[in-house]
Amino acid sequence: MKTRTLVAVLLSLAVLAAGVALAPAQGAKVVKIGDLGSKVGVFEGYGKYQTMGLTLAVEELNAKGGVLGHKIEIVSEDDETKPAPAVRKAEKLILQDDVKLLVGAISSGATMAVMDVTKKHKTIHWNSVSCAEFMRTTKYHKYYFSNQPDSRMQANGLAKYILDKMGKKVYIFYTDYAMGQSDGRQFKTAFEKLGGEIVGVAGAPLDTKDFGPWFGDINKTNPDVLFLAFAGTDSLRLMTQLHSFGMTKKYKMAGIDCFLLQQDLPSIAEPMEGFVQLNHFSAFNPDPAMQAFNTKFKKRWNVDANIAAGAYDAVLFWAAAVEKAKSFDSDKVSAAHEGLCLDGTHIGRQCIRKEDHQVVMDMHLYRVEKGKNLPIARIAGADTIGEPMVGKDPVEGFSWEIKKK
Amino acid sequence: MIKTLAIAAILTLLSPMSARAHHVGAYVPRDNDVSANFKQIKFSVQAQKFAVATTLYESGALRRELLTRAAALPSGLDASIRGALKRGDAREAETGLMVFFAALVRDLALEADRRLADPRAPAAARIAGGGKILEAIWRYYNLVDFAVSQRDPKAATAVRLAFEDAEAQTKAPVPAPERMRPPLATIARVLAGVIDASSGVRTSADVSGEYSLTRRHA
Repeated sequence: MKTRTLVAVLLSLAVLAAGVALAPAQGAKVVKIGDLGSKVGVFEGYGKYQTMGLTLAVEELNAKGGVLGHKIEIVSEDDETKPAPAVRKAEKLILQDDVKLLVGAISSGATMAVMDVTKKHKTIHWNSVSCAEFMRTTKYHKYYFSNQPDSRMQANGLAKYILDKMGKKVYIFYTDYAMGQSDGRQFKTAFEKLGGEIVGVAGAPLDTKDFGPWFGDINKTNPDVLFLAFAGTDSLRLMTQLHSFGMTKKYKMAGIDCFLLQQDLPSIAEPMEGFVQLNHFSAFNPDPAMQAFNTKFKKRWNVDANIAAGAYDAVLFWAAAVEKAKSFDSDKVSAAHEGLCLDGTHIGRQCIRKEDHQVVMDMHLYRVEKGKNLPIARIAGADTIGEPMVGKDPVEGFSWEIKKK
Repeated sequence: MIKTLAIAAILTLLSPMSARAHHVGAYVPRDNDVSANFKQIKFSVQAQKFAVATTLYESGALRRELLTRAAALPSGLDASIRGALKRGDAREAETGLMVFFAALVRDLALEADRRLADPRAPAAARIAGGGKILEAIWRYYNLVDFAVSQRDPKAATAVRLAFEDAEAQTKAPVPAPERMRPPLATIARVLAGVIDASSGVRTSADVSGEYSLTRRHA
């Protein structure tokens, strides 16, 4: 029994030491990068795809000689989708593995916790999935970069499209905790700024099982569009209930991309039919850059890419910044990132804004049709990114009050 | 009897049910020997270290549990997993491991239902016991949710919703064991379907029926 346990422990240590490593040739200089995310569980659909995106980029770079003459090696860690393990694993990646770049995490809570670690240890940190607005405002630090459109960018893009194409009267229905409040607040601000009318707002408490009691109020205000800010199984329940009450046919619906896990979309394709959301990638988008990326992703992994594909570009940006800085020194690499533009990313040309290190990227609005996100409009990055708000509280001065017109 | 003992052993490893919501799927219970061994195997497979994965499987807690429960599992499951690992067939190995955990969760759901139906225990005690089994259910189901969703997205969402419905009863002001039983039955029924579809074998559990995501409203 003791021998069996010892063998298992030694083997698991060997696996952990190996990580998901692309072993370089013996004797070659090596630089390590960290891949932190949810590798097991409900968010695996992002964590696993993040690893695949990183691996694809590293294979391409290593085939051309690596970065600054160093072969790149990936060390992957599971953050267990929780802030505390995410912090522990981030410290392990930085202090033990000496990674020069950390990509992750997946959930916004874990990513924000990891930002404290990367700030403390001055490590270049890319976020390609999390979408909370605080990461480029109050939590921002000079080593942090993001190519995931946050909730403000998504709200800005959606607000303009909804006002132009879907209707002028919107009801905001949100889940009443940080994520839903944030999304609802961003959308209300953006929509009213453009001259749209918010005819009603309501927050449903976390863990609401029956949304029926709110439907009367929604119907009473007779909106053109329902803007929904929910996540996870709350979204599943809400959409099935709205559908069974006939409201998915009565109103146009919209929300941000955190509304549903991508893998859940086929399971509620019918209630989601016609739902509009803004996103930076869909495998079903005929955009040449996306198709080119998806083709090579599929060739390597035998599956379509998803939004975690942004991790691929994160590595390319970092490698380009290192080459520009001619150094792995994080201060120099951070400075080299600022204003950097890359062509040939998974969505074409992207540039990093100097002020808040957010990638300015064109996005597409998608409408769900038969369980697939199909593009309906392209939104210029400059129209969605908004002004830099580093250090500013995005909540300041906001009111849920309905302005009567 | 073996199944009951195995479930009892699992229950002794449980920590109290977290008060955190599961609605966004961010809740992850603490590992036990079986779930920790699963992660070791999974990460080895992802790193394409199939020899390591094979040894971890052959000498680990997961396989011991699997062999203990072999009577309730599709025949040849152990051989199928070992063969896939030795061949370096990640997809087949993942499917076999998914079937094992789906069966484990199915049996836990049935055991919870049986205990909840026992009129000899006070309602509050039955709910508390059901809550502990739910913790174990989530510990194991969370490991394979993505694998299930890739094969049957409707089943994955149905299990998550049913789990939440059952969990809500652990927080109800008035303990009502009867209300906790239908979602547990749904979990067992849906996962039996996943096992059948993935293994091509009709399992022995009495969990026939259909499931639907759409709740009917008046």
